[in-house]
Amino acid sequence: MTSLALVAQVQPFQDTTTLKQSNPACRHVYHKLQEFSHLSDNWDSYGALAPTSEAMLSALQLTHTIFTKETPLPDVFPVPNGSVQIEWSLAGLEMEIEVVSQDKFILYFENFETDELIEEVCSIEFSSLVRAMGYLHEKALSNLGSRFRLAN
Amino acid sequence: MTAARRDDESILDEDGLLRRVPHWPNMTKFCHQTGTLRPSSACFKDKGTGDTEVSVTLENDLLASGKTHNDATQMQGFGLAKLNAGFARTKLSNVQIINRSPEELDPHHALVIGDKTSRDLKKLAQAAELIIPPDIRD
Repeated sequence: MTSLALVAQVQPFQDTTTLKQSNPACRHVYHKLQEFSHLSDNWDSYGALAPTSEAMLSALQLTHTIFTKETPLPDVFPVPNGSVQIEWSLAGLEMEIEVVSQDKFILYFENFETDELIEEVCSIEFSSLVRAMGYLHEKALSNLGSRFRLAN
Repeated sequence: MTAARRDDESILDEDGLLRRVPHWPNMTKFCHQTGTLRPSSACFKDKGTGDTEVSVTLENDLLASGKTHNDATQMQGFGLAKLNAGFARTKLSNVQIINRSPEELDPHHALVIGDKTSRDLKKLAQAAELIIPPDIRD
């Protein structure tokens, strides 16, 4: 999928004005997905599949659904099976969302201070995902001023 | 499939397992738990086996053949992450076995075989040492 094709597919959902107004974490994901749209199969030399358009669009939709102004800038990576992974590493907290499709997300969340661990395949009902994002925002705010990157 | 295979005990726990890390897109990140740059857990995911098999290069075999770590990267700009076989075998939620699986392009290729959770893949990523950092383009 080309970058232009990705842009065309998300136009109804995310036009330029909306992109400018959206929060930095959403914009960051969008720009990473544009980059990934140039990947070909075998980008990792182990036979990886290029990210699927469904995974990329679903990742974009998910960010607009669950990201808020408190959401720290995530790291975004392609996954060799064609999905997209959005992740955060804060002091004492790790979180990953692997976006497979519109109705399949794989959530890993671990709070090393409370020992809370969530490993779950989420579908349309993603209350665990929302709960984990709540913890992430709480942690990001409590770490404000430290060295992690916070989207303002 | 997994049950039919046995761990290759000639691969010692202290032996290194090498995994290539692409330079584009950037697959590394700063880890606040370890305080180091490390590969993302996505680097240890597999394209089609549900993360049951992860490809690696056996460091001892590679070096014994006269090749270098740089040879193992295969691709210009790629980095190389190193894990200990013992860590992969015993520190994940399910016991892993390691089998030699030579390939034309990598005669020292092996597979780390066993079910792995997201947390396990994160552990592998956090334990991995970037012995050759990828030449990040961006």
